[in-house]
Amino acid sequence: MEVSMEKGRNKGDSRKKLKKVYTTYIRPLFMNRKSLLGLIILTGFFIMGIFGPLIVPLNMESDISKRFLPPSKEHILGTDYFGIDIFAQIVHGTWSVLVLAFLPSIFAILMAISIGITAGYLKGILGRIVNGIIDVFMTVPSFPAMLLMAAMFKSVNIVFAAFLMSIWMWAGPAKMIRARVYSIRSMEFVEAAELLEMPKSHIIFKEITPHLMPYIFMQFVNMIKYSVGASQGLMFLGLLKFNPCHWGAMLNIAVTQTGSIYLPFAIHYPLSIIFFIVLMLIGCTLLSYGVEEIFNPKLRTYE
Amino acid sequence: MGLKYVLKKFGIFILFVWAALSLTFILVHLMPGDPAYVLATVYMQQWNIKFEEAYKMAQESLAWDPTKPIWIRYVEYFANLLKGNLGESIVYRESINKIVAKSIPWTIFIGSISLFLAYMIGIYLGSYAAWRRGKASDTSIFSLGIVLSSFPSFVMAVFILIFLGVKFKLIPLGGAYSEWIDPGFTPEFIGSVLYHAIGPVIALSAENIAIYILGMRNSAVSVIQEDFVNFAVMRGLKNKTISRKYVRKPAILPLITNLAASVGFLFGGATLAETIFRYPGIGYQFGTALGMRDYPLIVGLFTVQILAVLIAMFFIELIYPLVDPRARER
Amino acid sequence: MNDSKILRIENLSAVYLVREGSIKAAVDINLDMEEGTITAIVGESASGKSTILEAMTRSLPPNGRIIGGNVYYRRDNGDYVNLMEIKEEELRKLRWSEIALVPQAAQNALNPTIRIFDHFVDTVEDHGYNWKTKEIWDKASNLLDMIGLDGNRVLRSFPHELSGGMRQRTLIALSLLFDPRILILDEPTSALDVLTQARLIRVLDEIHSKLKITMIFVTHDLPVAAELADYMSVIYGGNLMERGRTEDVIGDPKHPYTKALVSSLMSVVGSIEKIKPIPGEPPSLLNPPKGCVFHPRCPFKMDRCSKESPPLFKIDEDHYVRCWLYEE
Repeated sequence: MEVSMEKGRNKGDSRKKLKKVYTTYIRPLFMNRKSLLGLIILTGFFIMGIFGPLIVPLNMESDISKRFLPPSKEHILGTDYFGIDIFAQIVHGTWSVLVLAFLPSIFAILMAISIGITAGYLKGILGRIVNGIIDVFMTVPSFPAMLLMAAMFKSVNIVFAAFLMSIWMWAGPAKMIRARVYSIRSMEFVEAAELLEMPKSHIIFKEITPHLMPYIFMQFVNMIKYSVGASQGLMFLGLLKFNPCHWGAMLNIAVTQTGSIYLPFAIHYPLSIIFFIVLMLIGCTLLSYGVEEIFNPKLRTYE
Repeated sequence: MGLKYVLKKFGIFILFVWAALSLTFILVHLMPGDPAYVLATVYMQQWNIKFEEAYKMAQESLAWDPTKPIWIRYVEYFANLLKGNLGESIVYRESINKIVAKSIPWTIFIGSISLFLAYMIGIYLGSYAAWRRGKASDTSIFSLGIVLSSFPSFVMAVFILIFLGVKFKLIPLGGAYSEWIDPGFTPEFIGSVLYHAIGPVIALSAENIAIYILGMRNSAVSVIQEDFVNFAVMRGLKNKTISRKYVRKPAILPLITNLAASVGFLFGGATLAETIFRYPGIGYQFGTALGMRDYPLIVGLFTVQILAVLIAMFFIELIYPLVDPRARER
Repeated sequence: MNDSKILRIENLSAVYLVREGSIKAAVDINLDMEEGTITAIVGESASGKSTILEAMTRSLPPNGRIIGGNVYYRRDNGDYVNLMEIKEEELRKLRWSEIALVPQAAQNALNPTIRIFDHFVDTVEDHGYNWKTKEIWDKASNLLDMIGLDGNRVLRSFPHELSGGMRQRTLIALSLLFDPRILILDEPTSALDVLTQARLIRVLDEIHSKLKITMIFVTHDLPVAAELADYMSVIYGGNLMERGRTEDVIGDPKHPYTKALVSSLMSVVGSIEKIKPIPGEPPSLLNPPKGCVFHPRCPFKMDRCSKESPPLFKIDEDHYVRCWLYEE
């Protein structure tokens, strides 16, 4: 491991670094079958979320005469209780779903990294207290806690919702990060850096963090999947209703408010929603397992 | 396993209970959101009254006097809990203890069945797949795991309700048992209970089964590469012995520590699945309480869930050394 | 098949598959052993010597492949079986009851979730013996005592309760459970301190003289090999360079590599100037040099050496060298 004493950087260095990031993290994603498939699915959703609303118009006016029309050329997935095109709603809700998947994960991973590294690096009582806090957050069941908190606020916007979710998502990854920092810390090269009296920030960023990146990456991908599921659940119970086209909100309307699941001729409505939820989750799961295979050598197969 | 060990673990347990409940207190009483406001909006809708009146009603029902200093409220909170009193529900005007008592057995019922299924199926399929890694059976089991894990409990619940319930009329659409049968230890009642449990159990188990399949597979794949498995092969041990004693046994250990987390996870799933099936467990109560902003009930149920998870954790901490010799203190 | 050779390895080659290509860890290995002898396979770290053991017992890791060769083993009744060709189930029955391979790094070779005694029991049961529990206990206990361990205490313990040296010796006790005809040990002394090493060598010597087992062991420690072995084989870069009686190989080494190896040994009283390390670096097994694998570092290299790999030339009874210098 190079210990660079120079503070200056030249262009060649940063280009090399970028290339290294590419080969270590990005390229393997394309080479592993599972992660590639997951990426394709998620990219598809991104395209749907960004460009879909531009292509597919959404008319939220209720037209009861068109209630529960089965799938047809005009309405690809049919219409819902209010006569509104289902596919259009799904497309317009995609962006909400994606944001509510990535944003909480970003918040949570940042929290997990900072608290996790701190906990792993601090010694003595302070370290134990921080560790204890992590443990307490871990024992509280996340989803019920999110529900509890969501129920207390009158109205939320998407960023606040993301933050609310992230509070209950950082603990598990933080614990993992802490464990890793703890074990890396006692390795020789960190001791060497400490003996050389390198500044603490240098030790943390240059020596320890590179070893953490694979785990952080894995946790991040797992969080995305969890967020998709949790956000659907939160909306399903009617708790974060800022966008009626979010798939969870759609399910809420379908199941609790209109009782469409009990009507045999209306099943295309909830089923379409479910299809997309499951598809996105499959994409996330594939990506997550692909990433785990890449960074955990024990799981690799020799292809 | 000595008394000292048990006492030590119990002490930690109590500490965690205190910390978790304090955290709950912070969430409920110190959050910027105004529960009274939200409750007031619910009242306004329900009874068509003006906001000021609704707000006053809300404050009264919450019985959380915002004028009392925080630390007094904190002490009162714990005093009540220690007395075992969870408070009273606004909506039902019933003691929350009673509500818990009549709903938690249902959740325990379907919860334990699904956990059991998840364990059995997951562990068997997971180790089977790991053993035949890279071959067709591994790929198919793994794919099954991935697909199943993409069906969170409520998605699975809706899915099953639609297909098995509405379309093919194979399972009942809700409730814990048919209303016209009297509860009791009669075969009809028990049969009805089991029949009504099918939907919720499948909904709850699906995701868990997937987690255990994939978890066990990963764990077993890791174990298979250990030296002691290789040495077992070199000693000429039969595959049956190796897969049982040298792979499955060590591979299960990490999954056991996850059991406590599974309990927490089950509550999350139960909230949604029970709501969809109108199954009268603690999840259903939680879901409806949330919708109606019945704050005392919400907090009470939440507290019960935390306690359940902590108890499960404590229990597992006690049992674990029995299973893993390395964890035994000498 | 002829004579009293209990094991004949012919042209055995094996590789490991990695992302960058294949590691040619064992190339055209030819060895044979007489019953009751001790053979040492000697070489530097990562020279491919452990690979030979794994290949000949078909216990390569998942990315290993045997690409050619035969291994003939002579059973009690005189029949020869080709270990490379027999079915899995037959091989499994032979394993441990007749051929026992004790792996390197005993730290993890024992199942941490069961006791030491259970290891013995599993081995006995899976080989179809009907021994009663007490019989197994007594036999295991005796073997452990013979190795210098407290049998009763060790049998009751879990692996993590024993030290590294104790675990290594337990493995050896396990290996003698069925009085195997061939005992193969991979680096038996490498993880031990000097004193424990000496103890282990003595134990192995005793086992050999008492039970007359044929032993093969791999080591990078030349003095240990010299002390114990009757025959020595020198491996470099996956190739067998020289083999013969220990006194011949050490006393009168023929191959340039062996010569350098022997002269690089430090004598306890000799002066430091006499030690001459071998210049250069060990070859890459991923892309080995063309021709003789040692030629880049060989002080006697000729033109031919960089083009063709020499075969094994016979110098004497039992003494073979793979070097163009000895083409006669």
